[in-house]
Amino acid sequence: MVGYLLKKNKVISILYLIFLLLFFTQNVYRVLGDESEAVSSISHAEDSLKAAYLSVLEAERAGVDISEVVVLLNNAFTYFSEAERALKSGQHDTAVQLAGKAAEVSNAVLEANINLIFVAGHVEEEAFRNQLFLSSALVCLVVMFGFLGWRRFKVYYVSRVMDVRPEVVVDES
Amino acid sequence: MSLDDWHLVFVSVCLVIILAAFAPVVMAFLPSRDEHFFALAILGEEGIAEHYYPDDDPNIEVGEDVHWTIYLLNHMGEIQYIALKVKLLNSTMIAPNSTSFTPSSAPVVYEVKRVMLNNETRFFPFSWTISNVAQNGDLIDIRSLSVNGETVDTHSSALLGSDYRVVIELWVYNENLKEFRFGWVDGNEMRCAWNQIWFTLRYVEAS
Repeated sequence: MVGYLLKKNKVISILYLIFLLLFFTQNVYRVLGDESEAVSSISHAEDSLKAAYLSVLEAERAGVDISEVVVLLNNAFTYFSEAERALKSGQHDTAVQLAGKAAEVSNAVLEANINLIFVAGHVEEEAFRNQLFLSSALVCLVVMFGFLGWRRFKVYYVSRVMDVRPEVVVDES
Repeated sequence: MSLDDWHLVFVSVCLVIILAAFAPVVMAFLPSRDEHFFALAILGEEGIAEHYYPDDDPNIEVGEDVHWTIYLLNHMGEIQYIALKVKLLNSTMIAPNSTSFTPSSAPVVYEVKRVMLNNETRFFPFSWTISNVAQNGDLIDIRSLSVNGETVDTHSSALLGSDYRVVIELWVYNENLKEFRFGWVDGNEMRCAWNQIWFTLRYVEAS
């Protein structure tokens, strides 16, 4: 009887240990899984932020007014910093959520910029073409009116010179 | 004036007008000659370059709040993606090197990243408190800091708590290398900006 009870207790202990092991392993995997998901979300958000920044830089170089877009981008940075802080403090779900928001805003900035760069590229090209046309037209006018003006001035100058030419008078006295 | 002199005046005036007409087109191809730089400074409690410590005493105690503002100006000619890294050093730890553009190897206790417009000035609030300290003989080890309300673990020990310093480094995102670098490139030259403020930890172990 005593042997039976000891055997039974042993079996229960082993089962309990197996249960504890499974429970612990499952929780460890869950925590590790959450953490790795948060880390990967943050890494993805960081890549999106960098891409968005480069697109804003390109847009600025194309002549787009980027002041409003930079405000949006900095909002994304705030989400990103909060996500990093949440990860450090072990709030993995919050970190994933905030990193997602940062990536979302960054992607919106990136998309908006692609359109703006396309438009700005055309506007800039057109402005340059207009400037070139205006400058060329002005040069043509200057050459043409300069030439005509010079001719008129030359005639005027010669006539003035002829007018002031001293008259030779024969003194017959 | 003779006709030849008038001719010269006419031609000169025409040439000047032609050059003026083409100036905007030529300007579009000329590179900018502006000097590009960042300006970094640490300001005291009232946003001016004084009153850095409570009662102007750089001997601070555990739990004492220190309020600074980090001033940064972007005059790089275009937007910049920057990171301000704050580090806690003792007197023997190597500070950033402005000649070799090497940052301090001390761990970062606080970091802020922002995109700044050209000619934009930003003021970053930076409030910190020493929150946890351990003493080992004459060595005092700062175990944690509270920076802008966030607790950060750190390990920096100094003899009798003297000659600690807070170092602020400016890192700039390099679009070619696709990473943050300590410093930036202006033309063919490399430049960097960092700043430090010293303090002493006044610590009396509770008996």
